[in-house]
Amino acid sequence: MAVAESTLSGPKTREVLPEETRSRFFPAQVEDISGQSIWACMQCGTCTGSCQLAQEMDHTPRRIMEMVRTGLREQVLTSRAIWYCASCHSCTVRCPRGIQVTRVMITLKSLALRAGHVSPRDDAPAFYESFLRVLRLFGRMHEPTLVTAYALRTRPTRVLGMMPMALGLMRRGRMAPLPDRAPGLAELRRLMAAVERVRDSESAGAREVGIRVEQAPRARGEEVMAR
Amino acid sequence: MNGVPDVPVHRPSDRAANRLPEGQVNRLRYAFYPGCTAHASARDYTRSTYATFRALGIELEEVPGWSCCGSTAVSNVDPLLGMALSARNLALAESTGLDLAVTCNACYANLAPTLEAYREERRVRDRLQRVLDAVDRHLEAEREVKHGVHILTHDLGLDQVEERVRRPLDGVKAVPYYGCLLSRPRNPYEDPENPTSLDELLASLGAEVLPFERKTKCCGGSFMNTKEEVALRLTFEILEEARERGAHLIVCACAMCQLNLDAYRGKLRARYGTYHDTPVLYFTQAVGLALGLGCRDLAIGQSFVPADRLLGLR
Ligand code: SF4
Ligand code: SF4
Repeated sequence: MAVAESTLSGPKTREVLPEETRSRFFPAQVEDISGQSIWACMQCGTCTGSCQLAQEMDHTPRRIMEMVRTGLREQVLTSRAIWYCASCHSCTVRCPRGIQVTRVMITLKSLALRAGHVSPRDDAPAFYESFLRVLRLFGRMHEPTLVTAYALRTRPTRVLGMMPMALGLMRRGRMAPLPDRAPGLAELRRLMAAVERVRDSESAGAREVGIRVEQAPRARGEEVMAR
Repeated sequence: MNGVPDVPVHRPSDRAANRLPEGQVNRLRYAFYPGCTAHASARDYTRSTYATFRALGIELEEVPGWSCCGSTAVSNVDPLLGMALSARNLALAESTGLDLAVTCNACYANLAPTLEAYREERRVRDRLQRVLDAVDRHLEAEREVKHGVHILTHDLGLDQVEERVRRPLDGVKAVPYYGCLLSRPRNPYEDPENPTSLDELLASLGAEVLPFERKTKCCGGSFMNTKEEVALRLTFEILEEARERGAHLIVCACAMCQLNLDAYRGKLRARYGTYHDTPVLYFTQAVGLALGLGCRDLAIGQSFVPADRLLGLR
């Protein structure tokens, strides 16, 4: 897009958005995955007014709802707003139209990850993906492995900043040095593979009716671990 | 199905409605989902849960073969996988034939809504059944998932708790911190905007329970690693209100909330110039203290901000 960055001002407009592509199928895709009727939204802004994180977002939750149904797929998926959603459900319990906005936000995050659209300035996607990898390895979370994996993916020097916390936990007997493996790890990996299959078969169906779908980019080495 | 329908709320103070039939009190038994922090950062929570529940005559049986529930992270990558992990854990819990007890809000907010969606949303159920079939598991969805707080306030009942209090928390000013996920997105025992179970539980221990406006606000725990400045702002607001109200003690019901409110006091002081010295206990520790259990049994010395000042009070 040929907008010179220097002609724009302010932190919001400086975002040079990719070519506007209105996806007619984006709203349907979001509805399908989230199970929420986004067309029921009446743009009252209650979600935004209830959101403790709205002040950090580039688009407020109400605006995200409208952008989704306008089909502004790229803009929504590349927004920073979705990564500032803490899944606190304040919007969900207050929405007068009964929309679980939190589930819409979760859906958008997962679609952004699948599309490989995430903002490199945001560390949250790397954290969530690191979480998933540790889960795949042990079946249960192991905090030291998680934060190390995350630091290596983002800023390795981060490990230093985490040391005081780690020592504090250790001193208080609140750190498990070794991971705790879930029994039935093989079963758990079969479960994860089944989730992929269910999603892939549904994506195939969706493709037939013209919905654009992305495959999850497989992390390197994942196949090896899944064996 | 959309939305969060209105549900009738039984307050713990509805004591008659919550009382168990005679003779059943000592037969409370649950499958227990400890969650991944149980052997790590919330080891003290697990220990005090077992001690306090035992003292109250409630038996807990660890769910055989449980795995991580996905916390808030997995759903963000893959909502179906998030639910599938919960569904498998629910199936494992169901195999014990007992209702499921959970004490971490983050785990509760994965397991309970998954169960509800499985019951009420046909598409969710179809998808989850296909996934569970692949691992030869089956979910009947006939047992309930309950948070530990509600097991005490509703299944056991406040009368029973009160009867066993040996060392009332007289003179202790406490604020209850529910966090996001104890009353939201839906909890059959709580009003999502103004939950009261923890207030009433603490009052039954003899504590003076102060009003606490931020009792359900987000503490930003999930952002502590990725957006620290945001997480610290949210944490600060909660601790600041507790301090302004003159609370001696914050009581929470979540492994994540406790760590988040407890462990970052140094960073908060560096950023905001105020040091908060209010200790944060799990509800199981507060109840255990009132029952007369010792600090060792309740793992009280394992928090970052020592609770001794409070103990010295009594
Ligand atoms: S609260 Fe509900 S109806 Fe109102 S703007 Fe938000 S999503 Fe739309
Ligand atoms: S769930 Fe997300 S969008 Fe909704 S109020 Fe909480 S942070 Fe805001």
